Amino acid sequence: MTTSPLLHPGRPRLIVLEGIDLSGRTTQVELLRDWLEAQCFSITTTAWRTSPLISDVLARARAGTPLQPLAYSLLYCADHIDRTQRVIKPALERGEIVIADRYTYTAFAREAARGLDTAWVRNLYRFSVQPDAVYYLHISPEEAVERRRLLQHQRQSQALVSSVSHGQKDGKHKGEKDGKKHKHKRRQENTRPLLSTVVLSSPQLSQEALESFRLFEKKMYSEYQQMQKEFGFTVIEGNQPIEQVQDALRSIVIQLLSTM
Amino acid sequence: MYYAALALAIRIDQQFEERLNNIVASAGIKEEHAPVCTDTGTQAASSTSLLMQPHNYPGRLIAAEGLDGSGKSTQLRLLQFWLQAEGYDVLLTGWTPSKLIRRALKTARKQDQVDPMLLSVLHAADFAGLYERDILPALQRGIIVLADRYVYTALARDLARGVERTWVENLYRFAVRPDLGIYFQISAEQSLERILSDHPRLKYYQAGMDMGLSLDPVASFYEFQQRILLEYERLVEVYALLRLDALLLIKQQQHLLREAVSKALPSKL
Repeated sequence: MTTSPLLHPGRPRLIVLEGIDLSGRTTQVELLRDWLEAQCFSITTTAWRTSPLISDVLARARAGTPLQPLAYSLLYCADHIDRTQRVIKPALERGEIVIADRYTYTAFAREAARGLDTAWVRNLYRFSVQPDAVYYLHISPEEAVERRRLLQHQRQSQALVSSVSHGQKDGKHKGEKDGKKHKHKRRQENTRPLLSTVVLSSPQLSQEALESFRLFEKKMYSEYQQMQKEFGFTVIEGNQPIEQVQDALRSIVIQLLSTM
Repeated sequence: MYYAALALAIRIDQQFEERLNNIVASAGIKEEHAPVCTDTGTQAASSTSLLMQPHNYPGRLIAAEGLDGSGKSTQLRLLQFWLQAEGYDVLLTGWTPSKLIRRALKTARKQDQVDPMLLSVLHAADFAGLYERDILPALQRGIIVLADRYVYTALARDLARGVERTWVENLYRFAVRPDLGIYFQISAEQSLERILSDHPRLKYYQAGMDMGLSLDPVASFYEFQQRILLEYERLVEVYALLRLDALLLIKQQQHLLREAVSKALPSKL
């Protein structure tokens, strides 16, 4: 693909990718970033839950002491405000294109799915930067469950392999993007690989986890469907090969970047 | 001198009585036990502010507000002993940031500028944890909750930091209205004097150092307290808090408090 002469690299934009879990957002954001950078655009990406302020709080909450719904939603909001101040706004001021892997709509969908009051949640995010475009990667909740089932299978076989080889690289499948930060944590996990193997390979437990995952994704899905019109999401069908999704995304992004 | 103070106390006592009756009437505090409420708290953030209407839980919530050094904690501890001696189950809650939030606040400090909204949300998350974990369950179980600072502290501080009013008022509307909210009134000078004699080292956020008011912690603290005081003055009116002269003798304050609290208590079984 060649650079369109109509592109205006000077203008800052905020592009958002949304979608339920396992819709392929993160993969698509990375591919899009690489492609746009190859076209000499300056790109900054930002992802949900990555503020250093709260990442360890949330990690702890997921590991042991669970947080209550209100506290949880407020920490997500703190993450968003912090990234807005430190990442999103400065990048836009430098004239860059910011690609956000999840944005406020994730909070809207998530908190509504958890039963919190919509008006209360939306007020929290009232001072967010207005995105130039929101691309919604559409997959059905059934597709999400199917992808999760496949992932679980992979993890189980990986865990089995790693328990045989004494848990080497237990955290490998968790993705390389947060590899450095969790180095010491990974070491801890390695000291007791058998435990995680037991948990993962218990068919009953994984069945339960899968069922609660299905119910939650279903709720998230219906929230996203409702928001589609309200916020004018551009829908991209996510249930097709990665390259095709990326092609669809690129052609829409080109359109966006060629308008003033 | 003593008589003057006493005379003042009596005069305040009368005003206090009047206001108290008004508040009791407007809050609709009933003599009999309120029905047991079974909601879980997740729906706490309803479309109208819970802070503006009386709750239906069997427990009672008594909140103490005021500047640092106003003597709230002393008074609440005395109140706690008394209530326990009277046979009530009592929970005393404080306003110390949790370990998790302290870490986040510390990280935030390292940045050039701490966003007041970020501070606000972090404190709100901390309070929401306390509220959902301790305060609400206690109220549901019929316990008397003595809150050493409540949402009004957060509102006053956030507003003093310049956070938008409707945003932050909406933020805290998930919290129930106390059966009795008491404002311990002292001036910024008195606050400063008492705090410095107690612990001479002011903490970063306590002194409002994040606002860049002054490089001197003492000057910054004073300026910050004055701003908080202004916000408290508004909040006392909007949320109908009871004013208590925090310069009265400890015993006198306690006497007035007990009188007010006993009117807010549920009848014993």
